[in-house]
Amino acid sequence: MDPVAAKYIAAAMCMMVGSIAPAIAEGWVAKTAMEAMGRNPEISDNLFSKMIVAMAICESTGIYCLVISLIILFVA
Amino acid sequence: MLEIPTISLPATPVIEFGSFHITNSVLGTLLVSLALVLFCVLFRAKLKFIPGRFQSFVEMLVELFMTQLNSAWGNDEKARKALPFILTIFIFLLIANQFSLIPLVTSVVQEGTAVLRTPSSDLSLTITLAIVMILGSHIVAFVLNPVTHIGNYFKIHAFFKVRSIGDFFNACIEFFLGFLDIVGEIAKVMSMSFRLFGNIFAGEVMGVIITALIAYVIPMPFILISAFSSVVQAFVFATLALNFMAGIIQSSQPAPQRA
Repeated sequence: MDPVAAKYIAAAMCMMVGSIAPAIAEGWVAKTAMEAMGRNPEISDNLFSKMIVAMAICESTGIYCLVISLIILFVA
Repeated sequence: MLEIPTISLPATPVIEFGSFHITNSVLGTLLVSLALVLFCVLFRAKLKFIPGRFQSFVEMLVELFMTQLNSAWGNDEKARKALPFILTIFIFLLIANQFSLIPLVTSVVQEGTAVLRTPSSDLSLTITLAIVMILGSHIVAFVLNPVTHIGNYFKIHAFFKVRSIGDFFNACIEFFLGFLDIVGEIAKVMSMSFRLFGNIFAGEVMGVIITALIAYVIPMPFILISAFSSVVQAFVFATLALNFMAGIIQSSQPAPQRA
């Protein structure tokens, strides 16, 4: 296959595989946070901001895959 | 085929002195720094003992980081010494990540490429911040207590307490783990820089592509998500910088004596 097609397929497959795990991880964080907030509503505000920070860190590996796929598309 | 304007990962040079280039993200950084310095100089002249609304907001930001610094350092005066660095990173990133929201700034064009670019969408800035932070805390830890600091990474002390073959294998494993810690430091730099760079650069690319498709109402949710995640990423960067610094410096200090 010609290199341009291979480039596009590579970028798409990189993102395809790399978005599975962060989605599962963030859903898990949200699930546990919701359960804790349901059990103890008065720490809701405190817990919400910590949940957002935890989600941003879980997102990291997905962002690494995104950077690789952008490099494949625009630089190579 | 639709017209997508050129997106380049490395920043394009704007002014060139021979082989020394000043790129457009450097100009963006200078603009943000200048704005921050002006703001600080003007704000300091108006500090009052009973704070008004804006001063309360700034005090709230400082308090946000002082609580985390206290819990990481455990000691108020040492926490105060680290506060300016962490807070500078946070406030600079807060403004720099939202750079494309300032109207008319990215429209200044010279030969088809923008003259000002969001600072943190350039890998150079984020890697520089991460390297300065990690290298700085290593240098501080080394100056404070050289032997313990090196001993955290070359764990030779386990070899001196060997009493049996099992202990010898444990000592070898500890030595190897010490080397892995050095790799871990490089991983810290890479993870922090790539997280910030990926978020901001991907937000810009998405904004450019969606605006090239439909320019009127559809880009709004994407721009809103970029704005929200920029604030979160600035906070995450500052919090991680704080915790890594505290970890490196505290692990070269002797353990606190419990009464």
